[in-house]
Amino acid sequence: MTGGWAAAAPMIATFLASLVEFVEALTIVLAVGSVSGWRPALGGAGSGLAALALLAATATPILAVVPIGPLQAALGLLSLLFGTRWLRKAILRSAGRLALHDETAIFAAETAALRRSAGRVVAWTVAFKAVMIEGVEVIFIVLAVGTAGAQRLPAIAGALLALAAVLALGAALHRPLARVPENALKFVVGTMVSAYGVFWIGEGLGFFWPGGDLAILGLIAGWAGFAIVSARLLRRRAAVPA
Amino acid sequence: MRAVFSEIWGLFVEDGLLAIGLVLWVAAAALLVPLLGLGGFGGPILFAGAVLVLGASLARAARRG
Repeated sequence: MTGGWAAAAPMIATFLASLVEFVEALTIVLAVGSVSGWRPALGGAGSGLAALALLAATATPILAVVPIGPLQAALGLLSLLFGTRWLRKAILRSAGRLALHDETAIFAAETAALRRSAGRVVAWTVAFKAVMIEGVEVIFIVLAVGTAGAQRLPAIAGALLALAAVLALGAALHRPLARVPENALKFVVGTMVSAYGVFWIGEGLGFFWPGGDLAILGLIAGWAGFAIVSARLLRRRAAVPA
Repeated sequence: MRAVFSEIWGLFVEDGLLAIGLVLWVAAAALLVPLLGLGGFGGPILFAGAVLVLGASLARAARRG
């Protein structure tokens, strides 16, 4: 694969995918902080990040001893499952068949729930759980995108950049990042990760790809074209009265 | 821990039929492509099947409204 693209594509994919997950975690941590105080919120979030770092450090050496072919196929399948799930959701939302994700509503719901159950331990636990759950998702995304394509460093860099961006914005705004166009991000990430997933399954199974590694570009275009056409068709069908 | 596991599961599986369909398609391609001597078209066949499975899942979701 050509050098620049090889490093940039996994970084972009993990950056965008991680951005969505970190925004979800930040929304909950901000809700905890604004209701129960910043000490339990930041304590829970910090402990969650430490637990995640430990998890990532133990998972990486285990993967290093697995043969590359089956590993590529297995992680490719996970990427395909993850990518198509996001693509499906983005298509259905874009066609008006599913409600859009609303960070402001989540913030309000979390804040109301915390007010009902005031207490530092509850606040710490909620922040820890949010960071842990969303962070585990990020680890899976980074492992799937980075390991199968032997591009672990750019994949990790993408996730860390997303974390830094969300932390900086969260610190500056102190409120949920409702303006992040989540559905558009899910559309792009779903397309890219699905393309990588199919490519790596094929590589792992020893299938031929026309154009070699550049087939990934064709796969991204193929998934994107399919998603755009599907969303239009579903929107049109929804507009026609039964 | 239960919440973490259910979140991990949900990361890959939302529509059960989509997930099962993709896993079955990949398994079928892994078996049939070499068996039928279609290795030269293996990648594009894999992609076309995955697109069809997602298309079927979307059509089902649209029918359900």
